[in-house]
Amino acid sequence: MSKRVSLLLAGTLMLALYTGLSLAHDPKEHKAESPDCAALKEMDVSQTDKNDPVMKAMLQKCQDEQHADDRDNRDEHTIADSHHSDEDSSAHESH
Amino acid sequence: MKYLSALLIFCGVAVLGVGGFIYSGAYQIGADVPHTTPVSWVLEILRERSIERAARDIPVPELDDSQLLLAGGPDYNEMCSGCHLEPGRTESDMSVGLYPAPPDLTTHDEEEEHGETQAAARQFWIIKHGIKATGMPAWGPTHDDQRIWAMVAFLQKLPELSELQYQILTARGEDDSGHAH
Repeated sequence: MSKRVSLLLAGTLMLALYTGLSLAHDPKEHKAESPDCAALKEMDVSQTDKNDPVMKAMLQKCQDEQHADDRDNRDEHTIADSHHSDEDSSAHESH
Repeated sequence: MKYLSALLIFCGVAVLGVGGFIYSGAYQIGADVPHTTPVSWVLEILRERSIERAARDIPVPELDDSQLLLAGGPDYNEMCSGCHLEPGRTESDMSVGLYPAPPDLTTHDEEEEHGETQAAARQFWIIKHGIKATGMPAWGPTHDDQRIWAMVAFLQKLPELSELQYQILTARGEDDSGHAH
């Protein structure tokens, strides 16, 4: 029975690997998931038209991305702080 | 009467000849062999006239809108760029292998060819309904009109976009799952 399960697992793994390889034959097919806002920061936007829909859309996208990053950082800090306070309280209790 | 009989016989022979040729399987249907010039001509006229007729009364909304670009960019990247390419890319497996070859929308300016409003209406119709036997699917059954207009808005700007602009506009942000439009 366990041999059958192992065979099934091995088969699934090989199929997944084959599918992944066949879909990933050209690295260019893989798109970056996050907008490259660092490059936008390096651009001289003073000469560009702020009312141009393309520029407005880019600025909006990077602003949203920045907000998402800030929120993630805040969440990480909150989790880290709660871990610290848990450790502190358990340390106090043991003393 | 003699001429009419001759004409009828000629038409009958022609219909039988064309029918026999179609049924014989002698025509090369592989996508790696181009159509003969007469077949290309007939199919192109059929396609262009049909799209022109179907799209002529479609009212085009205001498309010069950054929100539409943000909504349409990621969809274009995921649904269209494999065939219709993106800035900095001149070919893909699909653009090389499909017949007829899909237009490179990073350089192909429909506005120049058909005028701004008509170009947008044509693109909307093509995205929504697809084109038979070209590899262009109909996205209408799975995407609402608002989402298709967003892609059309993005297409209007695509020929002017740099690689960086394209990357930023088409990347899905962390909050953008691609289904909330």
